[in-house]
Formats: sequence, C-alpha cells, structure tokens
Amino acid sequence: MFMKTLFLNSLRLIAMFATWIYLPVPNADAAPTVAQSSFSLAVGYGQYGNLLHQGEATPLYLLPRVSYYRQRFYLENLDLGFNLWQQQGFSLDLTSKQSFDALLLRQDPLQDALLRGLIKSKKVFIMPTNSRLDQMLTPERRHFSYLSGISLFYNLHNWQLSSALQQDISGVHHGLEWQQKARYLWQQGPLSLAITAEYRYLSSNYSNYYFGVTDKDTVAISARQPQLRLYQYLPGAQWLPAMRLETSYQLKDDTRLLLNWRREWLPTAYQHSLYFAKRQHDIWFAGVLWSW
Amino acid sequence: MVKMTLLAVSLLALSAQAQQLQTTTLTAQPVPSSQPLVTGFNVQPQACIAKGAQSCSVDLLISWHSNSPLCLNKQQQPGRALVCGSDINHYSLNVTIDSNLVLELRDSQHQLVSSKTIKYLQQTEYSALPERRLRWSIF
Repeated sequence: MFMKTLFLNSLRLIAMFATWIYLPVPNADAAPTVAQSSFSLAVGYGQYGNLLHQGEATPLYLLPRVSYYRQRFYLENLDLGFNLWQQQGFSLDLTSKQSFDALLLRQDPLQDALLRGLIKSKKVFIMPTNSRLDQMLTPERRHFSYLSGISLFYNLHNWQLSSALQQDISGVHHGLEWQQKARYLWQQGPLSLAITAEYRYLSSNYSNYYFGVTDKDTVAISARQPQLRLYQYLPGAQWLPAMRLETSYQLKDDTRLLLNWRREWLPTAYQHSLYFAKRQHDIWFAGVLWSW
Repeated sequence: MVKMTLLAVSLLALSAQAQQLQTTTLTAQPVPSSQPLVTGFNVQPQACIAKGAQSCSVDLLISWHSNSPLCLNKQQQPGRALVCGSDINHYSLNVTIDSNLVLELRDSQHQLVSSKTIKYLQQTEYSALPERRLRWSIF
C-alpha cells in the first residue's frame, strides 16, 4: 500500500516536473536529430534456467537485440524509454519494460512441480475422501506483465547506477517492481567486462501473483467451505538480489564474442510456494554477436 | 540543460552545383598569362555551419594582391562588385548562405581570374542520451 501510494505520488511529481522542465518541442533552432539504431543477433548456446521441481532448462541458440535512440526516445528490445531530464550524468526517464517472471513458472510442468513440492514438503493436508491429490492442483497460468514507471540513471566514468520504479500496466497483477542496479564497465582494448549488482523489490501483488499459491491454484476441499483450499501461500513483498557478468571480445566492428551470465536469488520465503526445487535462477549464453 | 551532441557534419551539395563544385574548389583557378597576376587570394573561413536546414550567416575576411585592380563578386551576381582593388587586406564581408557560395575575382574586362568556394555545411545531431544498456548486453 505504501509503495503504491509512493508510486502514484511519483507519477504526479513527474507530471508536475514535466510541465516545468524542458520537454522536446519542435524547435526551429535545433539541429535535425539522427536516429541511432542497431540490430544484433547472437548465435551460440546458452540456457534459461528452470527452478521448478523436475524442470528442465530451456536452451538458447539465437538471441536478437534491437536498440533505437532518437532525441529523447529510446527502445531496447521490448523496453521503452523517454528522457524527461538530464544533467551532469543524471537522467530521469519515463520507462516501460517487459517482465519475464512468467517464464519462471512455465505452464506445462507447473502442476507436476506443485505436486512434487507438496509431497516433498511433508506437510499435512486435509483432503476430501475419494479424491486424488493431482486432481486438486489446478495451478493457474502466470501471464506476462508489462511495467511502466520512472527510472533514474547516473553515469560516471565506468559506472552506471540506476533505480527504476515501475507499476504493472497490463492489468495482470497490479503490482510494482522497484529495481536498483550498479554496473561497472572495464575495457582493455577489444576486451570488455561488465559486472552488475541488482536488487529488486516486488510488491505483494507482484510477488503473490508469480510466486504464491493462490486460491486459484488448488480446488476447494469442501463444497460447503469453498474458501478452504488444499494449500495456499502468499509470500508478500520480497527483495530479490541478482548478479550479472557480461564479457565481450570485439573481433571486428560488427562482430563480438560474448559470454553473458546472470544469477538471481529467490528469497527463502518462496520455498513455501512449493513450486521451486532451487532458489538460484541462472541465465547464461556464449556465442558470437553480429550487429548491423 | 546539458546537451551532449555528437555532431556529424554533412555537406549539402545541391545537385545544380555539384559539377560546379568540382571546378571551383578552394584552389585558385589557373590564370592565363594575359590576365592579371593575383597572389594570396584568401577567404576565411572557408565553411559556414548551419543548424539543420537553416541559412547560415558568417563574417568573411578576404584578402588578395594583384598587379592590376580586380573586383570581387558572388558567382550568382556576376555584375555586382562587392569590393574592387589590387591590394585588399582582410576585407570583411558578411554573407548569409543556404548553399555553397562561390566568390569570384574578375578583371576590368569581367574575365574570371580566380575563385573561392565557401562551403555550406549542415549540422546534424545524434541522440544526446547515453545508451542505457551496453550494446552487447543480450539479456
């Protein structure tokens, strides 16, 4: 509730701020701006980890990347941004981004994962007679959500610090995410290395939707008491730390060797969701990146 | 409001003048032996940079020395002398141009002795935003 109020107040502040600060308007004195765009395709091998019980990682072979910058507008794959204010390394942007947390709970093995989690948990459940456990588990599909809000960037030398407060605008869970990142970039000739520490806060709505076991995920154990479920768990708001390591070796102007890896740690609270066999989510990819 | 601009300057070469540019480069035209001898025909600066598609205003400093009086004119206005003389030092001329400007030196018979081209350059601006993600970051 506090975070939602904070978010709404932030949006109001932005609206007031935007009326005061310089916004891009057609300006006869301005030089025409040339758009900067690039399309890249990474070819190689990697994996998108699977945290579910008996879940298998998804192999990655091709990863496209699109970026487009024009004046104050930019696009980075599915993420959009519009710069409101920029001064001495600081930038305040309106931003939106695709949330990929739905990928952590892919639909097909979700029922199996919950079933195995229930069995492994050794919890005591009340079950109606003549019923099977697997029939009582109806985990709802987790949909992708799209977030929008504000982002503050600070660039200094090889550092980039950012903080983004973004609310679900797709009506999927109505939650919000607050993400902090600190990235350090080291370059030596053709070799580049970027280390990023991340920390994101998920509001209750967000966290419960993707990582909880809601009343829609299991059936009622009694027709007389429809609110009584086999198992229910709402973890509430949580913090998720992550680390990212990205290396690149430039072979030619348009060709790089890549090795990217990201690990995110789920909080211990998510263990009670019973879906997850482990709490470390890894994504990695190694290959060649061509840019146009 | 800091505007970090990476500027690329593109030459606006009008097609009608494209051929002319090749013949009126910054080097002086060959002078036939019967024409007056001109030395040190110099125009500074040799380019004017406009923001976008606007016209461009610049103060030119013009000098030349010759063994007989010559007159300076714009190529588009051959009959209208801007200044005449045989020993001109740092003559100041303000011009506003929206294409390349050719300045000519002509003798008393209106024969072309030498010429200079002031290039009209157009400034373009790349996005002032530093990239939010590394170009090689793929997820």
